[in-house]
Formats: sequence, structure tokens, C-alpha cells
Amino acid sequence: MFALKVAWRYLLSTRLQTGLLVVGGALGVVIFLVLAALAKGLAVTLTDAVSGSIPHVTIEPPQVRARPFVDAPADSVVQAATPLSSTVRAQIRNVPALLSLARAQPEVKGATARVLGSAFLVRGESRAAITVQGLETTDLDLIAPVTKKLVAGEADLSRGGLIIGQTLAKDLELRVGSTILLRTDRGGERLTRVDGIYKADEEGQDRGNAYLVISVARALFDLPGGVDEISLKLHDANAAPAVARRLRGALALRVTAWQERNPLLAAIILSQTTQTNIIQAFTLLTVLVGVASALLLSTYRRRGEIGVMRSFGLSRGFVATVFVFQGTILGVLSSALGVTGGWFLTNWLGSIKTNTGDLLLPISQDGAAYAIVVVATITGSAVAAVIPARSASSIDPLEVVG
Amino acid sequence: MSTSLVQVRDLVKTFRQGELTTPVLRGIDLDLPAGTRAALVGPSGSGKSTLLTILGTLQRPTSGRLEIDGRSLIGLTERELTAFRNARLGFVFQFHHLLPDFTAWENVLFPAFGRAGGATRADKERADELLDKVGLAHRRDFLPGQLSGGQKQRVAIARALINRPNLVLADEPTGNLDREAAAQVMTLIEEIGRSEGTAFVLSTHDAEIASRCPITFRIEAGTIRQTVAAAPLTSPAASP
Ligand SMILES: Nc1ncnc2c1ncn2[C@@H]1O[C@H](COP(=O)(O)OP(=O)(O)OP(=O)(O)O)[C@@H](O)[C@H]1O
Ligand SMILES: [Mg+2]
Repeated sequence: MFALKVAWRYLLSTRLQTGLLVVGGALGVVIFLVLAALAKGLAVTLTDAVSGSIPHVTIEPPQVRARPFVDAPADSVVQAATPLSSTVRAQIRNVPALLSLARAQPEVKGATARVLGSAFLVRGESRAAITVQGLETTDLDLIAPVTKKLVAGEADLSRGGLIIGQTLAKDLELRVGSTILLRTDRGGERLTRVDGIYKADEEGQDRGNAYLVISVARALFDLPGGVDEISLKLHDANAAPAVARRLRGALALRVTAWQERNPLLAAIILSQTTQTNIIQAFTLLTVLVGVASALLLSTYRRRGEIGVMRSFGLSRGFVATVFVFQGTILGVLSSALGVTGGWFLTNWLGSIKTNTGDLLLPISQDGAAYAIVVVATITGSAVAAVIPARSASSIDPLEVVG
Repeated sequence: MSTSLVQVRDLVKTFRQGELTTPVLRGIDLDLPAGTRAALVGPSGSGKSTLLTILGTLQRPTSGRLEIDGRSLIGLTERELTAFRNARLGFVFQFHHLLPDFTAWENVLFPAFGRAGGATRADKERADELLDKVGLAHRRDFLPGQLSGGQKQRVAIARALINRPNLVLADEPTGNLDREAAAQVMTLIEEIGRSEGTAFVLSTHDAEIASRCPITFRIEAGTIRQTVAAAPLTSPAASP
């Protein structure tokens, strides 16, 4: 295509200006990509930190119960929602069916039934308030990693004993093999043994936690046929609201995504993302204004040539196309250089470590950002060239040759 | 006189700038047979360039009739005029106006891209032939900046001819050249006009150049005052 050749020749004839425009555009693309990687990195880090050791979706007993309306005609389905009596224990009963429904969802990595309750660990004069989680032996690590955090003993619930946090062990001077009295808020009591001790990431976070095999927990918390909740872990924590919505539609139970329990996190991520998007948009806009103004200058410089082209019968459309192509080429070169630079820069930034050996910046490559910035830069530069293109195509050959 | 290549009747051009009106052409009648050369002479400011640009469809007359190659150009749209210029007309300017980023050969070929479909292989061969005709085959891949003034003007003549126009309009084509280069360019115009059958209208202040054209139009006070049919083509030396 000849207009493309002319556009290329024009860009080559002002190499310095073209080079500066491309470098400027590439810098904009690099900024865009680094910001995207930082924003995504932060979101991923925060999400992991918050959702890493909690269920992504929980299924809990309902707070209301639907009953047929007594006065309603026989063939009607009118129901009334009545608050569940506070004297009735809320629990989930049809556990196997719920587990298989949950596991059938494609996003679900694993689902487990949990018995959750408050208890005291009593040793002589000292006692500690804890939360007990009753889990199937095989599901110990499903919701929060335990095995890999183990510092002593065995990560095996089937032995019937407790797996407790390190801080708790310290507080009560417990060791693997120590026996201790567990007294639940349902009045259950059992002399049990410490089988394993794990260490949480954060100091003191493992003060109030103990794991127990679910069969024992059921007995201790007086839940012979039910559980407190079904807990789901997903492949992607971000899918939780969608999964929760779907299950909510299918079940008359309370289904909650982890985000609903941590609204502040969602707000932080949203505000961070919005802020990033605004800066990205203005960065690209600056680049595009630069392209438009540089090409507009070039239409003034080339007035004579354009007039001559028009005099020997090249159309306005041809002249306009030459300028739009110049914009497009600038966009292609800028995004190619910028994507390469952005890739290396983000990778490098993501590899910088602090003195303590941790990563300095949360960086996560954002594939979508690459696609967006390439499309936006190329189409944007082409569109930015429309103003100069219109100006060039309206040059009257007469003012040059007359 | 429908056999004329160019037929102008009662052509008027008046420039208006607010209150100020400048009548430049006040009723031009002009006939130009195909394949001939005509000089357009007259004092500075008499309207030579104005007439050439009207003939070249670069601006429209205030009133009057203009036909080239049997086609009336008065009512045509901007787009139609552009296509007409590309197919039928060639231009040579006082300043060569070559495109500085393109080689001599590319400059010659350029107008061929104004046609739908762009330049063909035949066009590219013709560009080489034309460069050969104007004696610049050995400068084919030179940029305009690397050519002399006379050479540039010869490239411009080749460029005007690439689309085989019926009429080439040349506004002081030798005005910027020394006597020798001017004579060379004129010889070239004569030769090419003959071999290609192209008509030329060229404005000039140079009596010698004018004398080498079979027809002279003298423009004065906005009208064509004198039409001199000079000696026949075969004896260009016999000038008045
Ligand atoms: N766009 C315009 N607006 C107003 N007046 C104009 C315009 N173009 C030309 N003129 C006037 O028309 C007259 C003829 O100008 P033109 O350029 O045709 O003369 P010319 O015969 O080519 O002169 P020269 O030999 O000096 O080139 C001049 O008086 C000029 O001022
Ligand atoms: Mg003039």
C-alpha cells in the first residue's frame, strides 16, 4: 500500500522526532504496565493474605425458615419466612449431598464439613479460650495450611488428638504427647493429647486455634448428625462471589463469599485499581496528545509537498491516510518497544529483594494489561492522527503552487 | 471549435477580499489545439498564473466556460476535478516542487498512485523511460537534494508526463534556471511534446522561450490581446 510507504518515508525523514515520539510513547506504555503489575500484585498479595487461610465460600444454616402459610389455599405455594427459633440449634444436616453439590462446581478446589466451637483448654490452674475446628482427617490442609507449618509431632488428625498453635503450646507449656483437658461450651469434656504443634505466619495468630478430627468434635459439641458449616476452597479466590451466588440460588441456606466478610479489603483493592486506571488513562492520553501535536506540526512543515501531491491528482483521502498511517506506525513502534521494556522492567522490579530477603514490591504480570495497552496505543495513535490528517487533507494546492 | 483540446469562453476571475474586489481576468477567450505548445506572456501581475491554475482546475473561475478534451469542467465536484487532474493534466512549476524524501524515479512515479489501483508494472517501466528521455537515467535513485536545479526541473517534467496527460501546464518552468539550463529544458519540452503528443501551455517572461512556441497568448488588462501563430514546428529557429 503506497500511503503506508509514504507514511514510513515521512517518519524516516525526521528520524530524531520519530525516535523521540516512539520513546515517549514507549515510556507511557512502560508506566502503564508497571502500574498494572503493581496494582495486580497488591491485589493478589492482599487477597492471598486475607483469603489464604479462610474458606472462600461458606455454607451455613439459615437464619429463617420457610413454612407453608396455614390459611393459604391447598394448591398454593405461599410460604411465610419465620425467624428460626433461638431455642433451636442451627446446624446443617444433609452433609454428603451438600458436599457433592459443592464439589461439582468447576471452580471448587475442595469442600469440607466443619464443626466449629468454643472451648477451654484446662491444665491445672491455667486455662486458655480457644476455637476448635473439627475436620475430616483428609481435609486438614484444605482451608488453611497446617502440615507445612508443623514444627513438632504429626499432622494427623486420625490419631484423635489435638493439633495446636505454637503460641498456645507455649502459654500452657504443652509439648507433643502432653495430655490436656478440653472443655467445650456445650458441656462436653475430654482428656486429650497434643499430637502436633504448628506455627502461624503471624506471631500470636496461633494462640487460639486447635484442630480435632470431626468425629470427636461432633461428640464434644453435641452435633451427632450435623455440622456447623460446609467450607469451600476455590482455585481462584476471586470467583467466590459468583460461586456463592449460584449456590445461594440452589440452596435454602446461608451462602457467603469471603469478600462479604472482608468488605474493607474489596474497598481497598477497588480504590487502588481505580486510582491506577486513572493514572494509566492520563499517561496514554498524554502520549496521544504528543503524537497528535507532532503530526500536526509535520503537516505545517509539509504544506508545500502536500499541495503538490494534491495538484497532480492525489486525493484528500490519500493525504489523510498517509497521516493516519504515520500515527498507526508510531503506535505500533511505541507499543512494541514499551511492551518489551515494560516486561523486563516489571520482572526486574518483581525480583528486587529487601535486606531481609523478602520481595520489595508486590508485582504480578497482568496479561490483560498488555493486550489493553497494545490495542489502546495503536488505535489511540491512529485516532490521534485524525486531527492532523484532516488538517493535511484540507490543504489547498493553490496556496502552494498558485 | 470542438476540435480544440482547450476551449475557454468569456472566462472571468475576480478576487474578493471583503470590500476589495480585484478583477484579474475580464473575459478570456482561448483555443488550444491538441499536441501543440503555447506560450503565455504578459506583464507581471497580468494574471498568467491565475489563468494557468484555472486551466489546471486548481481554482474555479468567477464565470465563463472551460472545456478540456471536450469535457466541461465548470460544474464538476472537487473529487471529480482531482481525478481529472490526475488523468489528463500535468504540472510543472517554477520551483520544481519535487518531494524531498523520494528519489527521482519515485517522484516521477508518484502521480501514478493517484489512480485507483495505484502504479502498475507498466507505470514503473514508463517512469524509467521518462527518466531516460529527460537524460537522468543515471540519477534514478538520487534524492532531489542531490540534483542540480536544471536536473530537478527535468525530473519535474518527467513527473508531469507519467500519466500520459493531454495537457501540461507549466508556470515559468525556466524562470529559476540559467540561460543554458533553460534552453535545455525547452528543448526537452519540444521533444517530448512531439513524441508524446502532449500539449504544453507555459507562462514565461523570456522572449526567447516564447519564440520557441508555435502559439503565443499575450495577456493584458485581463484579456487575451494577441494570438500569434509563429513559424511552424519544423523551424523553431525562425523566431520574430
Ligand atoms: N488569491 C488572490 N487574492 C487576491 N488577488 C490575487 C490572488 N491571486 C492573485 N491575485 C492578483 O491577481 C493578479 C494576477 O496575479 P498572477 O499571479 O496571476 O500574475 P502573474 O501574471 O502570474 O504575475 P507574475 O508574472 O509576476 O507571476 C495580481 O494582481 C495578484 O495580486
Ligand atoms: Mg505568475
